[in-house]
Amino acid sequence: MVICINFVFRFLNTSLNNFVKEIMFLMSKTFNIISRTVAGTSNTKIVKIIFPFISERQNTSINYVKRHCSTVANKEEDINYNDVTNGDKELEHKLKVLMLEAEVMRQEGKAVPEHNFLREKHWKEILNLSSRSARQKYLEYLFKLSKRKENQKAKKEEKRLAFEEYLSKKEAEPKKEETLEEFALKYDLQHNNLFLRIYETTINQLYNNRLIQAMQFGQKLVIDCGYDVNMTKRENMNCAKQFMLLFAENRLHDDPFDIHFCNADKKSDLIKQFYKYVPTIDEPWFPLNLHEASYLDLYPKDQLVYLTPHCREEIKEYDHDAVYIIGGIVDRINQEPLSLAKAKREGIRMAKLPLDRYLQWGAGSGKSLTLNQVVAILLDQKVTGDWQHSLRHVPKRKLMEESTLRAIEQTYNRRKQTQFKPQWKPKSSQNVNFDNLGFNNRSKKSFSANNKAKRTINVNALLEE
Amino acid sequence: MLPRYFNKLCIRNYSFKKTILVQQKQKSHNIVADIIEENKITNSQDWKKIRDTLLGIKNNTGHYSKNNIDAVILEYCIKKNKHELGTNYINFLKEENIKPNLGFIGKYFKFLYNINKDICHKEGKKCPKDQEEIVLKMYNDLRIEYPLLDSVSLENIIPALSLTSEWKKCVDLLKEIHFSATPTGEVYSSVAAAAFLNKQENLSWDLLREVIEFQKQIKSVAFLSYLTSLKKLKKRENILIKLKQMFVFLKENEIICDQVVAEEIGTYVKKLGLTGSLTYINQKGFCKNCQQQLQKFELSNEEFEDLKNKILNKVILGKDIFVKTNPLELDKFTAFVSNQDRFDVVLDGLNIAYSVGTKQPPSVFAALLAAVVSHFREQNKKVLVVGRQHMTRWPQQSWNYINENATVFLAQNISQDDPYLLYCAINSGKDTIIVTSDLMRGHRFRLETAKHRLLFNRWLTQRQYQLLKVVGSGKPIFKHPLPYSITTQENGHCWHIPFKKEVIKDNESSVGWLCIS
Repeated sequence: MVICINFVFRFLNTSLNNFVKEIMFLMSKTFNIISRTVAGTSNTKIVKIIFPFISERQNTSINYVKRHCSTVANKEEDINYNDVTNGDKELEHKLKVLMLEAEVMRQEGKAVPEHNFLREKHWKEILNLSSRSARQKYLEYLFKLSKRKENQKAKKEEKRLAFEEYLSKKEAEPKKEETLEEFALKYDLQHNNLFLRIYETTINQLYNNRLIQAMQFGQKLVIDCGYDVNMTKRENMNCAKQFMLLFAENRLHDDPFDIHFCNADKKSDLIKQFYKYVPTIDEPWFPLNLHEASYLDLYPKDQLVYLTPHCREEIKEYDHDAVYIIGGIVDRINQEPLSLAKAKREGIRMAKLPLDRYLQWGAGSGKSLTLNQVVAILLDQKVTGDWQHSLRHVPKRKLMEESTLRAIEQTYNRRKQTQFKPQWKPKSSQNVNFDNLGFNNRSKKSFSANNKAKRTINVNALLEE
Repeated sequence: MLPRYFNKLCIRNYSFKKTILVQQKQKSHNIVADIIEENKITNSQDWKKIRDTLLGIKNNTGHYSKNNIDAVILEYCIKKNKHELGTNYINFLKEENIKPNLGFIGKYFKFLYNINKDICHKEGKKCPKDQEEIVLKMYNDLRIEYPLLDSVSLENIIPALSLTSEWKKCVDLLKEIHFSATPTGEVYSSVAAAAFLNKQENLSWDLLREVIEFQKQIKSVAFLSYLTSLKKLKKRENILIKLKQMFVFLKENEIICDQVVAEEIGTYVKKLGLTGSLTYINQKGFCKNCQQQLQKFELSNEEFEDLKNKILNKVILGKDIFVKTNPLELDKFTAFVSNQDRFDVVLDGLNIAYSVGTKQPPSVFAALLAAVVSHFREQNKKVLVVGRQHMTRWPQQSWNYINENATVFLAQNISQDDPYLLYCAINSGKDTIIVTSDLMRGHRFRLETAKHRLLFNRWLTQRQYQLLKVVGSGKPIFKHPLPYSITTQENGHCWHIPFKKEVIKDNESSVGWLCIS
C-alpha cells in the first residue's frame, strides 16, 4: 500500500488530494494500517494531507466500537430460550434445569466457563448430550477454551499497549525533514522499490491453477464423506478440519490429485462445518469437487480401491490408474471397521498402506493417521514411488525412537558376533601342522599320566572323607 | 563402551522422573488441603486469612474465586471427615455475613448427612432434633427460592433429607433427578436405607432393584440399615425369615457385598444363637467351617435359549452385518451349524495359537493347536476348531492332524471369528467346554440388558477353559473354571455369603466368604 501511495505521489502530484481521498474511500476498512504506516514513513507532506480524513474516520470508528460493545453487552445478559429450544416447553424446562446444574457445578469449584461465555449454540449442544458426565466433559472443554481466549486477549492487549508506547516515543522524537527528492532517491522497502509486491491472491491463483490442471490430467482421489452419522459432534468437527487441511496440502503439492468429496450430505454437521472452514466451495471458480452422489456412480467399479486399515492386503505397487478412496472418518470413540464393512458391502477392492512393512512402531499411541497425512503420503508416493520417503509423513512420536532402534540393532549385532564368529583357537592348519612339529612325545605322555595320578588322589581323598 | 546395565539405569531414571512429575501434579491439585493443613485454625481470624490466601493464589487456573471458595473448603472437610473444622467454617461464614450460594448449600446438606449417617444407619437412632430442623428449614427455604432444582444439588439434598422425618419426599426428588440424569447408587442406597428404617420394606427393595437396572452399585448403607431395622423385631423366627429375604435378594442379583456388611451380618447372627464366621472355600468348593460343598448355578433351559438368540442377534449381526462378517458367510455358517451334532469342546484356534505371542513361526502355532486337539481327542471328545482361512497355510503335518481329528470352521481373513465361536459353543448345549483366554468383555457389552449380561457371565465363567501353557511332553495345562459359583447360596442348613475383601494379601483371591450355620 505504501508503494501504491508513493506511486501516486510521484506521478500525480497535481491531483494528489483527490486521489488520496479515493484510495481512502476504497480502503476504508484498513485505514488504520495506512495511518500507522504513514506515520512510520514520517513523510510530513503526506501525513498533513491525510490527517484530516483520518481524524474524521477515527470518530466514526469509535462510534462503531461503542455500538458493537453495547450489542455484546446485551447478549451477555440473557440467552433467548426460544432460539435454543424452538418454543418447545418441555425442552425449555430441561434447559433451565441444566443451566442451574452448570451454575451449581461452577459454584462447587468444577471447571465450568463463566455464564456469559456460553452462547446459544453451546446450550443446544449441551441439551443433546445424554448423560451428566458427558455434559461435564463438554463444559470442561469449553472452560479451557474460554481461558485460552482470555489469555489471547490479554496478550493482544499487551502488544497493543507496547505498540502505542512505541508510537508515542517515536512522535516525541524530532522529525527528520525529508524532501520529495530524497524520498524518491532512497531505494529500500517502504521507499522506492523496483519489485512488484506478490500478493496472496496471486499465489492462490497459482495453486488453484495447479488444481485445475489436475482436474484435466491428474489422478482422481475420492474422499468418502458418508460417515457423518457414525461420528460424534466433536469427531465431525475434527473431520471437517482435516478435510480443509488435506485440501490445502494437496494444493501445495507440485503434482496434486483431483480430489472428489463424495456422498456429501449438505445438511450434515460434517459438511456444514466444512463450509465454515472453506466458505467458497460453491463458487464456480473454486477448484473443489463436492458430490452428493456416490463414487460408484462416478467411476467404474474395477478402478476403485478402498483404502482401509482393517483389511489384510497392502498396496505393493502404487497404481497410477486406480481411483483410491479414503474414508472420511475420525474414529476416536467407535473403532468398528466401518470402511471395511462398506467396501465389503459394495464389493470394491480393498488395500491398506504398508505401514508395518516399512516402519518400526513405538508402543502406545496406535497406528491411526489423520486424513491429511494419508493424502500427503499418497501424493509423495505418486511422484517418487518410494515408500520410505513418502511414509515420512507419519508423525515421529508414533514411531520407535531412534536411540532405542539403534540400541536394539547394537544388541542384535553383538549377539550375532558372539553366535556366528567362533572364537579363535590355536589349531593345526595346512601351513602349520602341530602333530608334525616333533614335540617330545614322552614328556606329553608323562604329563597326562601325572594328571591321571592327581585325579585318582582326589577321588581317594573324597572316598576317605 | 557403555556398561551393560546402562539400559536399566536409563529406565530407572526415567521412571523416577515420572513419579516426581506425578507427585507434582497431585500436589498442585491439593492446594486447599495443603493450606488448611499447614495452618492452625482456632478462630474466625484464621479462617479469614486462609480464605484470603486461597483467593490470592495466582495461576490457580481460575479455579478459586469468591463464587466457589466456600464450597471447595467445605468439600475438603467432608472428604477428610473433619466435622469440627466444617462447623467452625460455617459459623465463620455466618459471622462474616457472607450469603451462601446454591453450591455451598448443597455441600452443607452433604456435610450434615456425613455427620449423622453413622448414628442413623448403624445405631438406628434418629437424627438430632436441632440438625433435623436445620435440614428441613433449609430445604423449605430453598424450594421457595428455586422451584426447579438441578441434579447435582438434588443429589446432595436427598441423603440429608432421608435422615429426617420427611424422608418420603426423597422418592419424588429421585424422579426429579431422572429428568436430567440418572442418580448415583449412593443416593438410591440412602433413600432405600431410610425406607428400611421407616418400615417400608417393599419400597426399598423396589428401589434397590432399580439401582441394578440402571447398572449402578448398591452401597453398603442400604444393607446395614436393613440389619439395624431387624433389631427392633422380637420374634426369632420373624428375624430369620427377614434375614433369608435379604440373602435371597443377594443371590438373585448375584451381588457381592462389602466386608463391613458381611462382618455386621456375622455379629448379628451370633446374637441369635447361630454361628457366623469368616471361612475359606477350597479348590473343590468345600467350606472349611461346615464341610458343605458349594453349589454351581447353571442356566435353565429357557434362559439358555434366550441367551442363544441374543448372541446371534446382538453379537453376530449387530447393526451392520458387514462390520463383522458378510451375509454369504453367515449363510454358510448357519448351514454348517445345522448339519452338525453337538460338540463337546469348542476351541478358539487363533487364540490358542497366539498364546505365546504372534511373533513365532507358524510351526509353533500349529503345534500348539495340535497339542490341545490331541489332548481332547484322547478323552474321546468331539472337537470343533474355529479359526480363519489363513490357518490353512500352516505346516501341513500339524494342520492335517487338526483337520483329521477335529471339525474345522474357518471364517474369512477379514471377518471376526469370536462371534462364531460363541455361537457354536452356546449352540452345542450347556455342557460344552469353550477353550479361549478371551474374556469376551466387548461381546458381553453388546448384550444390552443387565439380565443377559449376568446370564452370559454365569455361562462363560463355568464353561471356559483358559490355556496356561503346554508342557514339554505335549500335554496342555488349563485354568479350569471353579466348581462352584461365587454367589450367596444355601447349602443344607448353612448359608454362604461372598464379600469383597478390604485388604488383599498376595496370592489371595479378592473374595472372602461368610458361613452361617
